[in-house]
Amino acid sequence: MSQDPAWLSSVPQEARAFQGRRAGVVSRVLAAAVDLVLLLVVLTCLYLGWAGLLLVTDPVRFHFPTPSRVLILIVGAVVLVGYLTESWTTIGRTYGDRVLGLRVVDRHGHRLRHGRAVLRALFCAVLPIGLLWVAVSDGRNSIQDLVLRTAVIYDWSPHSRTPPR
Amino acid sequence: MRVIPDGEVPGENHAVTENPGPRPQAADAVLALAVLGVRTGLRAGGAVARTVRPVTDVVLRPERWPSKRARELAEAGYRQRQAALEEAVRLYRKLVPIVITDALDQLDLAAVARDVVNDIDLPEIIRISTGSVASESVRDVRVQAIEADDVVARWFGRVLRPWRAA
Repeated sequence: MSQDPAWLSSVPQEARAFQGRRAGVVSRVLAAAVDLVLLLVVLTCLYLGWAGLLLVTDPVRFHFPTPSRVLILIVGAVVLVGYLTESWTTIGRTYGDRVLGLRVVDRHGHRLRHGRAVLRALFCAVLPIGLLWVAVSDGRNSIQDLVLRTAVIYDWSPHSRTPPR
Repeated sequence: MRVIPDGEVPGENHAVTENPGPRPQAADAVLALAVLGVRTGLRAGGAVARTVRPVTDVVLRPERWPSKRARELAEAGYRQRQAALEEAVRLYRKLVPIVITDALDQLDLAAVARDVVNDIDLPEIIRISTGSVASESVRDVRVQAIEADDVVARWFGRVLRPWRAA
């Protein structure tokens, strides 16, 4: 029987060597793209819900609402920050991270605490291009990682506390 | 079937054209002989049985035996046979648990169970059955993304840190 730790035994054999390594720019950008699609779906649902509410309350004068760009940005940022914060503090990963097998951890390899998660989410919402620093960083850190001392690692296991290498 | 050509008068003696078809073969004669032998044997057996039936009816049925002593002998033998059968069943029921218990005692069931568990890749089964981990296609995407990460990192490493590559 395998001598691997219990958390690693649920990971396929061919992927075990990567577990705990810091994730590169391709994986992280793909995960962010998945999250972006999810954000757009949520915003669309909110819009449709708003339109449905208007239709129910005043069906005679109903027309589809046209929100301003500022409102869209504010609502989008709020939803994004809330989604990222809750994902990182509860299960340590967003849906995009889950698809790509990634996990966001602090410098000790533990799940982020609430304060650090909020700051990181705000940072990601304000400066999303900071993610591209992973490509040039020697330690595969984004600007958010460097400032807040966090890391994104490969972690295919549902539950693990792997310190970043 | 006979074919009558145009202009021929029916009833005249001409060469008859036979249609080709299945014909008897030598093996058919052997088969017929075998069937005949079996039928004859059955008939002979029936005749013998009918002939000896009055005798066998008496000999094979003790209740028809004329001698009372012989009938009592048969009854006693019957009772002894029943008793022996019951004794055999009792012995069987007594011995089987002892044999099985002894066999189980001699087996190291813990070692057997351990070997079986060792041979089963339980984590893999759990992983497949729960579906908590990605499907094959997602796994491929992940692996390819990891490989792409390494390629990008190597490329930027060569460009930005050429002294390290050298």
